[in-house]
Amino acid sequence: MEQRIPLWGKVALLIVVGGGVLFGLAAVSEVVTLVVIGALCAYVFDPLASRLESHGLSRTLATTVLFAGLALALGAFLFFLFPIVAAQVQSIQEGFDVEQARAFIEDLERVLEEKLAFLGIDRLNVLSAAQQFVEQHADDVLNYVPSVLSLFARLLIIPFIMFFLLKDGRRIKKGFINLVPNRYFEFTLNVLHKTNVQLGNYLRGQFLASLIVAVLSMIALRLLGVDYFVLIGLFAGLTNLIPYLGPVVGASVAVLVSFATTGTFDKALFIIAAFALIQGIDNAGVQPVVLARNVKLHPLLILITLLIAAQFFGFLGLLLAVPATAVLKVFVQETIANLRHYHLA
Amino acid sequence: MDSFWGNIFKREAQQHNTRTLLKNTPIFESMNRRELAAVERIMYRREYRAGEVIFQQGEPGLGMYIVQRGTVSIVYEPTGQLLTELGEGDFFGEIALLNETLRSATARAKTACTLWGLFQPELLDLLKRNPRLGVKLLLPLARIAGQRLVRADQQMQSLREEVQRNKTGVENELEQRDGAADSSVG
Repeated sequence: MEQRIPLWGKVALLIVVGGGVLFGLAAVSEVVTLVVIGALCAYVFDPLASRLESHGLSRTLATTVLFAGLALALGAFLFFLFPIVAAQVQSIQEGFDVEQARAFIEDLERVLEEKLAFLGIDRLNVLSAAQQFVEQHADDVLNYVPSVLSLFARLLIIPFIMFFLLKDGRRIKKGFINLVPNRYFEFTLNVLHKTNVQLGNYLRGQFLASLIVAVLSMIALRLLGVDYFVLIGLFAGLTNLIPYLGPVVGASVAVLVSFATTGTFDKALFIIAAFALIQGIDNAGVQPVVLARNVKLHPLLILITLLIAAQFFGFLGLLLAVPATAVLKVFVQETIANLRHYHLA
Repeated sequence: MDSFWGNIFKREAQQHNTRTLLKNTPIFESMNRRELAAVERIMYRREYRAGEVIFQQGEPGLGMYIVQRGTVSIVYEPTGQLLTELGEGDFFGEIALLNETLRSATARAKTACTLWGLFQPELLDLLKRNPRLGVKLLLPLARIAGQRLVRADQQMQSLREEVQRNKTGVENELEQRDGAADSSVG
């Protein structure tokens, strides 16, 4: 006689399997992160490759042309912005002498003590805390050097993964579906199709939103005369992928940089206003277009996801957490809905 | 023959390899070798054991199948009535390519079968990548849907006429009985 697993059993099984998969992935977190970034990039640029195919190009040629286009765009970006970025990076390196840093921390401490006097705080001792922190983590910093060297290897691996997923993604998907047993065949096709329809606009929209936020931030910071505007703009675009927290982090970095370079908080309000305006544009103009109802994630789910991602996958995990959760959520939603339609549940 | 499920486009049986199988299917008949190869790339080849369900009545339909080998029974579920049997070169479920409707019957492999499936997601993707080929596929599909509709309409008309004839016959019989009863009373 067929034994049915009770609901609590299914939930327990799901938790055990989910936990096992998460720990397994965390064990190879670097590879997972690279594959996820490559896959997301391939997914975002897939319609462009299809558009090129519609002009009579083979998939391989379309992917090659697309990559050449992306390389040109990146080249143009580097050509026009690299001198500025290089100057900004160099000026950070040159500008970071110990005395200036000490003066900056002392200034910051003084301002904070003045502003927070009403809380009864008279001595913050930020400087000694910072020194202690640096002493404690000096070894860690040295350990990061090999990671910086492997950064180039990673930057090469991502386009490599992206290229082959773009070129052979359809074949890989077909190969995977061919493995599915007959009873689940149409069900699997349907789930993947529905998931794709819902996520396509969302992921491409998120990418576009980040690009818009990055460009607008650069323009706003340039107009406000904030140094390192290109770097901060790029950072703001990236952190825009993290809901709620991202824009705050972007604005905070801009305010801190402005304070570090000018010694005053004069521009702080303008910077915050500019970032608020950019968020307004993003929320009112871009998000409603890209955010399908089913992709909407509950704030609590976002918070938990971010905590787990930060714990297991670091900063990159933090950036990828929400898009990855959206993918998972829509996939699970469609699976459950279709299990009923196909009389499998 | 059931005009919705039966193959009203049937031709002489041939030994098929995949390309000739497609070429002999009305949807793909106007395509050249290159186009057929492109279509073959987006199709799925599936093997079914005898008795295995291909799709169940009431499930969302996503596409069509062409029989390369074996026999498929199309069954109307609540009654188990056999609507039709399809063999090599026959195709079924093509309306689901145009519109995701619930399957109106169950398809079951009567013998071990090899089927080729073409599904909506791949068709939509093809329309984006190669609109010219997509149209070359959609046009015959629409024509076939139209022909099935005409056949179904003709069948319905003949059924209506048959019902009308039966109704008239019953009425005449009743009138005759009434007349006979009246005369016996009178």
